[in-house]
Amino acid sequence: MSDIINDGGVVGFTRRVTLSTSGVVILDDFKYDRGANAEFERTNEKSKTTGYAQAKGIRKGTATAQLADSTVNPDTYWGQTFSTTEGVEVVNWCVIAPIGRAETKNGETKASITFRETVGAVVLS
Amino acid sequence: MADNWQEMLAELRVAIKRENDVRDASFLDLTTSICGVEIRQMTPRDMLILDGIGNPLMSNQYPSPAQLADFLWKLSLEFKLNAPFRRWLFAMRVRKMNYFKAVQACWKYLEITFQDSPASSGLQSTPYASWVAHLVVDLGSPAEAQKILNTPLRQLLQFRNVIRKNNNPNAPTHNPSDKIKGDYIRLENARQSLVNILNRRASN
Repeated sequence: MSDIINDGGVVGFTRRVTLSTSGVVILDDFKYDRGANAEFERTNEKSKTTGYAQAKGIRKGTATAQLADSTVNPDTYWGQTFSTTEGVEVVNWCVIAPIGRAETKNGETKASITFRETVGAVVLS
Repeated sequence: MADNWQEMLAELRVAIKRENDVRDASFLDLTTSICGVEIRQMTPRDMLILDGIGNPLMSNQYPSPAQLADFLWKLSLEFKLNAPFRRWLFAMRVRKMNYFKAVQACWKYLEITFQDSPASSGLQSTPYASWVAHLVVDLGSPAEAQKILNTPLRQLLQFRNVIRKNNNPNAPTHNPSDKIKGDYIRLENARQSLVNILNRRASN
């Protein structure tokens, strides 16, 4: 299963998000999948499936972050949270590794980031 | 500059359409008119030569009238090797051009040529091969190096970006329209900083 969200015909899957400490960034190619934490398949003596169960995992995705300027180190995004609206649901995300190296062209800097849905308050220590 | 998100998206749509039109046009055998002189798309071979002889246009600097004529001659449809009289006539034509308009048009031509060139990651390493060798290998066909040397850079740079994205779907891509988004981010962050300052002052 693959979920690519484009809310309201925004251009190039572009999202504006506000990171908890770094402020506004734009995320391009915003996409995520929901995985499964566990799957169980019951079979009979002839290996025919007679039952199935799955434990839903949390959503995890990637995007290309456009940074405010080339002095911003995308590593500082690690652990920061942001939220997006998916349909009618507000989803809270936390930036996790891997975070790509920043690349600059014509004064604009971008880096690939990874994020996962949060399940509670994110505490950095 | 866009003042809000909706304005930014509207500007972005127009800019994305424009840069994609430029990409599509590179696959048609179109020429560019520089003050009436038709020039073809630049190839890696042209770039090696123009860069090698240090033509200032290649580094976004003003050329002498002779260097401007040489740049246009090498890319013109009238170019012929070992044709000094023809070249002299061509240079005379270039001398009659509006110099500043011609230089601006050449810079625009180069900007379009390198629209899809790779970004810099700031990493530096000791060179061990020509950039052409890297380009040829990135495109996966060392046996066709000579053919690649004569293929327009505008096409090759797009091929390389597609290969890069196929190999790493998360690799960032860079477009001229990024400036619209960058300006928006900087404006939003400046506004937020101002709000924070005013809030602090109000609470003191």
